[in-house]
Amino acid sequence: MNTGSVMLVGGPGSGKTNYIARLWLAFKAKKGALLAERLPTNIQYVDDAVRHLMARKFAPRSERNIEDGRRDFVIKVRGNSDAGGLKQISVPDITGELWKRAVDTYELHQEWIDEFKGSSSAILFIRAHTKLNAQPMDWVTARDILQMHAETMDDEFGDDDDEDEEGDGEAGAAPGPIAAPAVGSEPPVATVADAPAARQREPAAHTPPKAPKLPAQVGFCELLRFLELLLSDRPDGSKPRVAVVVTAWDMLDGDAKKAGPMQYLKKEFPLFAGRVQTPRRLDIELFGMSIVGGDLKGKREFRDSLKGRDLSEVGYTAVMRNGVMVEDEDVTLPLAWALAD
Amino acid sequence: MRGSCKDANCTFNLTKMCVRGNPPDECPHRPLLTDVELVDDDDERQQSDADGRESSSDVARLLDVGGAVLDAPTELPTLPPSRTLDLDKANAMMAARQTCMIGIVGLPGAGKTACLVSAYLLLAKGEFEGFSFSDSATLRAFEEIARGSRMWVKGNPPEQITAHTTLSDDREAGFLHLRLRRDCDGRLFDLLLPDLPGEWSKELIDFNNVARLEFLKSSSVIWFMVDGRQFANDESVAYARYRASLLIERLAELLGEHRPRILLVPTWRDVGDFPDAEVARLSETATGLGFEIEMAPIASFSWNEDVPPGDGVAKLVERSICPRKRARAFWPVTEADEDDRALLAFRGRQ
Repeated sequence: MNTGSVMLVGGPGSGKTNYIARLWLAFKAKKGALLAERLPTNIQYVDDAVRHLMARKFAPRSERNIEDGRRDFVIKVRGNSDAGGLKQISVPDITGELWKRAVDTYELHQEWIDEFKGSSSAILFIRAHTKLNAQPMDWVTARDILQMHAETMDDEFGDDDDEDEEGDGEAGAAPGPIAAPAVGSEPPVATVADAPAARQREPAAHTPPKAPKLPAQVGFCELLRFLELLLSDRPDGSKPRVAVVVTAWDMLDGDAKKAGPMQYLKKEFPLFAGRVQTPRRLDIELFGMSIVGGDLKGKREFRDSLKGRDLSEVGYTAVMRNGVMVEDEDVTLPLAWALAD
Repeated sequence: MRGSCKDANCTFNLTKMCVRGNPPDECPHRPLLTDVELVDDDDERQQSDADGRESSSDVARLLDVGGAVLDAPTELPTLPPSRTLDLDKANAMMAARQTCMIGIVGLPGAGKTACLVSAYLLLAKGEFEGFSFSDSATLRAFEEIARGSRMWVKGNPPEQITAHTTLSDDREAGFLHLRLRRDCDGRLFDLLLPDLPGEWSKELIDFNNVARLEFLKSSSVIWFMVDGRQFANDESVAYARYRASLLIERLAELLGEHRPRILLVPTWRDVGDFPDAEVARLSETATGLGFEIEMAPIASFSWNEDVPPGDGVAKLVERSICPRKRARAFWPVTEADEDDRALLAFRGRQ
């Protein structure tokens, strides 16, 4: 029997655990490109995440760290068009904190380095429209906005960091649109009369501004670089495969969905989009992913519409076919592509 | 002679400082050692082993007085960082694929780092005219120099956006790498750009300190950065011109026979245009030394409403990669002559 492992890579809150939960539901329902013939031995871990989804909430961020031991979702699957090839796949759930640390400090446990070297497939998760993706403005490309908001925005700037973290899995407030401060909605023009008063209210005027976080797209590029360094060639000698999955695809507007993941990346993360177009020793494919077809933290009507439904019937993978974006209900597609012989 | 301190609250064993303030040789918490204990260690140890008890000096030995108290932390393996490339790595890259090495010289404050930051930020937002980002082996190095451009002080733009460049190794240049994709034809260009302290150029002028700038001989183009503010100011223009001409002379000497193209890059275009007369003077100096000078003014940042930030930076890069085409016929038709070689004579009859 063939074995294979698919590494899930992505920062905190990028949707890895929720994807595994939804993947398991697809396997269980025996739908999609990959089929599981029998229940895996240990389902406790995926069950935790499924429980959240069935309560119509996203699974909270995996709080475990490396010292708590790892949890692998191991399952035997067979391609639905392939009668013979039973394959055991293991999908280690690596906490996003580990990736964050790897990007910040370049440190990675030997255990994971070995795991990567033994694998030739990975899925890189990028969550659309989350405040966790730092997209700081700068004095070259956003001078006019910064000057316009100079009086008011420096307090807000940098506060978009962990807003999403606590309420990530709980039924918290709806996530905001993008990380950059919402400009233009309320141009706060400081009048001359206001200025001294404002200064008085701010005794800590000389406090140095917070150091901006590493832009999300630089982190994505670094993760891709790590994958290029670590993943091994496939058994047939071809390049390792990396599926780049844009999660929360349902949060995009109609035009962005039609344009596809590459256009989305070009617009939001030009550095990363350029890097993806220069795959070098990786084989890269892009997917959009919506695990339940909508935002469980958003409108109540959507949550209500899922009441009592089998969650393996909702959600989709957005893929480009013949130049047109289609929403395929098979969420196993990125995994199937990454593992395909 | 006294042994190790027996007081559990005292740090003497580690720090050699008595928390009770006693003189170390008189402290009652440190037992007196006998001569036998001091001299005949081996015998003493055997004896204590035989007795099954440990003497005070054994305890001191076990305590490893003055030694490390904690085990060394286990260090995690690290992945290779994407910081600046050293000369070896830059050489390896140039050997592996066609790479354009751009030499950057200029006095402190001329705006060398600001120019690189500006180019990087434009690429990061997809606003770099004519090119898009494709890859970089030194992404973190770009992030480090770009950090200041994302901060601001209340109510005002920062006085200085880029920090003064210093190098951990002051003897060897650190290179930034960019791979750009040309939008019109998708062609990829690899660039190596050194981020050097202005002191290197200053010391080249003052002391002819050439050793660490030897790499300039491999460059296909040199950005000669000058502070546009100084040339726009009557007070400072004479000295700025004098120093710039000295730098050109030093460069000519350093480069030997090699004559790469020189792009004269006046920064701070937002403050004022570079005077034509100064261009003419610098060109004259350069031409006399065998250089060809082209102008490429930039405004890496801009506080002038009429000049967009990053103005000219994309054009500077484009001109570095793609030299201006000369108006010469690729294969000029010449009159054939009976005395010419046969092939040319044949061609002439067609």
